[in-house]
Amino acid sequence: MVKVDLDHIYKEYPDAQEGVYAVSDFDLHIQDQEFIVFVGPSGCGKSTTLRMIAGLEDITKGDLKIGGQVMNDVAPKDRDIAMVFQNYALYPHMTVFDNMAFGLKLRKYEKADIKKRVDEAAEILGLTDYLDRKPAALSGGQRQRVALGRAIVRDAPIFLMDEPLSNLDAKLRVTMRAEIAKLHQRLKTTTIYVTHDQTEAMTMADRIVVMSMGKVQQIGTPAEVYDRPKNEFVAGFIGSPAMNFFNVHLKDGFVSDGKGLNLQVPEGRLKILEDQGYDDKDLVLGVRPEDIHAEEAFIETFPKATAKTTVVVSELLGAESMLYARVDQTEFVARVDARDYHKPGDNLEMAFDLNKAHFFDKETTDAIYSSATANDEQ
Amino acid sequence: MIEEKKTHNVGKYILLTVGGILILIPLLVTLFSSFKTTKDIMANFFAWPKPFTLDNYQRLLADGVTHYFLNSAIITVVSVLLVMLIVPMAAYSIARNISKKRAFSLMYTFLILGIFVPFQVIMIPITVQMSKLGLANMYGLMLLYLTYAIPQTLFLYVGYIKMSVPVSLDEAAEIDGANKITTYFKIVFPMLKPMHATTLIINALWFWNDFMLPLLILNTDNKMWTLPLFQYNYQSQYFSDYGPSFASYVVGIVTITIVYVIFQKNIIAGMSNGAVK
Repeated sequence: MVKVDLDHIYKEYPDAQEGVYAVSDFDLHIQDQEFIVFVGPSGCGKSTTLRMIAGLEDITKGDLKIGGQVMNDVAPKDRDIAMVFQNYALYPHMTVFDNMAFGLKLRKYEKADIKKRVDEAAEILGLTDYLDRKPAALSGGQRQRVALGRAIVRDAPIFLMDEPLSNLDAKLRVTMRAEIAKLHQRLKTTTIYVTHDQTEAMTMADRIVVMSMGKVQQIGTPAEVYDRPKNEFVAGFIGSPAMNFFNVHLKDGFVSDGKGLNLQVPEGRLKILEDQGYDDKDLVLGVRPEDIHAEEAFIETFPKATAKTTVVVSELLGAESMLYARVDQTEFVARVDARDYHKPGDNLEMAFDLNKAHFFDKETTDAIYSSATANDEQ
Repeated sequence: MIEEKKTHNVGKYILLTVGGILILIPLLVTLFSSFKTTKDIMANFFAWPKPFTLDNYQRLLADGVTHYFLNSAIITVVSVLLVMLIVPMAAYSIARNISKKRAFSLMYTFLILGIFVPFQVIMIPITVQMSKLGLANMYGLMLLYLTYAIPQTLFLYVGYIKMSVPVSLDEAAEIDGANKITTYFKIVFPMLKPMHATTLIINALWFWNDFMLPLLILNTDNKMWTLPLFQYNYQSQYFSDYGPSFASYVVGIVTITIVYVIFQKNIIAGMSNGAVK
């Protein structure tokens, strides 16, 4: 049973300006066997946080606890963690077997035990036939497996993975993603996984930590961060293609961006907005591409939340198609059924499902939810 | 297009062949001359060794070439090993800290500056200094070789470590439970193999063939002579004993060529390895 607690952790680099933190007030409590994904754009501090957990970076402020014990000043090797690096970091002059056995040898395991553990890990990862090869003679996917194997053999209760799939090609990445997920189900090791790819985060995580500019933006299950993003950043970062944002003004039950978009807000949503004093105020409206529809049925359902649009670019993806469209000067993307294919230049009416839309405060960029549910979240 | 390329290639081959011949001729003359008597050499410098004689080599043995050969070998091997023991270690710590700590970049700059000091400038002071220190002997010479090899060798190692030994390997080793020393000897040092081979060849070639430093440091006692000093012994102001001279050159050339051939393969072999990506 290993819990990892990050109590208000800060990281300040020595050559940084006073008070400028690479990571600030990172507060997270990871349960045993949980699969946590840190996600965010590059430079958001996610790797730095992972490296602080590993002990490769010092913690400026705050406590890191593993299994309840403060680990701030404990050497990496004594933290009982295993780490997989972005570039694999395999020892090129050693065979696959020796790569996996290196950590065990240093920890003075019995020879027979080392062999048993390495053979087991190789079996799990399908590397049995490659144990005598050097990393140079392996493909990218196989090297990544060796890196995983090096973590597995140690039987460490915590795995740290720093963008392990970003060096692989797209197809292999999907395969390895599933393999890592399977591995986690099998070994039940507490895992902290860093990625900039929101798809990886959504598909693998028990809980996602969305980060930006050194700060945690939201912590939640994939469904939570997708359906109830805390602010504009999270809403825009999670989901592909990204959520459409419109700068709008709310008046008389309609939101309008003054550039051609004029949509009626459903009653329930309107009440929440009005209750919080947003009537006759500027807001940011966020609508996910899949909540914009071109089908007749939807246009009839939301007769006052439609717009006459012109298709600019149309991407057919097989099962669905992406329509990049325009209303006067306002551009947005809609994800529609593939049968609903339209050529660039086509004029068509589209309906915006504002029941599923998100509203954000213009100043704070925080999402506006009813105060009742907002209290629930606390 | 293909035609054009072919003619281009022909030109290249001609150039290379001529170059090859120009280099080979003096080597062949040396080799042939070593099997001729001094009188024959004087008579016709480029002629085929006829009569073929091993007298020159026998003369070398009689003059005690083995002793001087061993002197040279010991000095070269020990100096090269000293350089390989000390310089990569220094290079590792400099390469890893140069961007973080000013002391390391100053140290590096200071050591590299040695490249720009011509030997002739410090030749006399060094001689005086070494004899005052009681180091005008083989040990002193090895120490000097180590010192003179540092700038260039360090420069090569630091560049190589920065380029080819990713920090993530150190970190992986650290998490695996290795301390700095284990990491250096088990991970970093073996990965420097191509650079070991390169510096070994450069330094061995230099130490083996060097004439000036041994002349300045070791000339106090002919027991300490190296092979090049011994070779010099066959030449005087009015007379050069070409036969044994050439034979001794062949001995020197063959030895260092063997070293080169052995390690040159390692340079290429070590270039392609798959640490990352």
